[in-house]
Amino acid sequence: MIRPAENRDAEALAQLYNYFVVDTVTTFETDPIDGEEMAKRVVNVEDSGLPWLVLEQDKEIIGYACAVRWKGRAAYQHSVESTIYLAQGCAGRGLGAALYNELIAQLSALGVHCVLAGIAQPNEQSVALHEKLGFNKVAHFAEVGRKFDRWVDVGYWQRLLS
Amino acid sequence: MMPQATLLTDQLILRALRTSDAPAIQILAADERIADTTANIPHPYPEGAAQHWLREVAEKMAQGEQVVFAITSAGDDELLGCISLMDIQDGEAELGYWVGVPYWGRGIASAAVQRLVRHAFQDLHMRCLHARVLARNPASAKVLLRQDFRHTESKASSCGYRRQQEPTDYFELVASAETKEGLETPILTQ
Repeated sequence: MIRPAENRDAEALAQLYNYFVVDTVTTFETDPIDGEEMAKRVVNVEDSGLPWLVLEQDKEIIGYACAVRWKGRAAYQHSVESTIYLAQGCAGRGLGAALYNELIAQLSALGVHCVLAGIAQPNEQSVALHEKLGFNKVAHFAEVGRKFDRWVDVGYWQRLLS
Repeated sequence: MMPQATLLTDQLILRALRTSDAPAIQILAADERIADTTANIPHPYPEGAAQHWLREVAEKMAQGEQVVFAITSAGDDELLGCISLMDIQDGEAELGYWVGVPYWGRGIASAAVQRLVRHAFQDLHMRCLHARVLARNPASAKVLLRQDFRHTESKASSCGYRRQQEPTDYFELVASAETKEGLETPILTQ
């Protein structure tokens, strides 16, 4: 099921996320985080009035999706940056789309107009998911990140909500 | 009560109703065959009835009396029907559902009932679910029996838009070790 994140999910969320920290360039963070830090991030998102959803199957957290304010200045108030992570082996089964659709429906209900997603390149699976959900590529930053001793490009995908 | 979850099966997504669902509900619920065997759907279905019902649901959900889900297809979010837990009180609730006529015969009600029953027992910690079905609607009774609902009694009730007293079968399912355990089926839709 898909439901809002709760405090008790923090450890599982950190574990899920840390794979991407340690083994991939998907996130530009380089040091694993603990449950306490993850709990803070969830609270920060929820306190800002935005959703943090978890995908739970058979009592295990196998994915999450959330949104943060795109930028702090007032005129950006209707724009967010979305994030989705699925546990290894869970991609490609329609789960990501189900989770992302719910996030977008909730953002839409909150009056969000613009959803942006940064995707470290290459990442065919994530690009396919975003495009399936109606995102279009709007920007490409060459070599904006450096991880594992190499330069990493980031593409930005955007979806406008009515 | 926890915020409303979105429930997944291999073909369906049961999710919170949205105001944007009104046009699809308006079309599906207007079919006389839906109003004929459900307790709360008028016929003819007046213009704007779906919107009115969505507002009513939102109020009852806020008061914790009901949880209503849109039954949608996993691939394209098409609305196929609705399924609810009504009169929620002291760990008990009445289960109700309808599936739009174009989607009959595909096992949609069974899959939705199976998933919601598990949610009711495992996540909402309910103790007992009730359901009633007109005796002339065996397809709907079969859905319940398939999920191990037990037939408790038969008596007259008014369960269609005509509000006539008709023979009705009552069912219940009590929480047990089995209903609390069952695992989720992984979603397989692309």
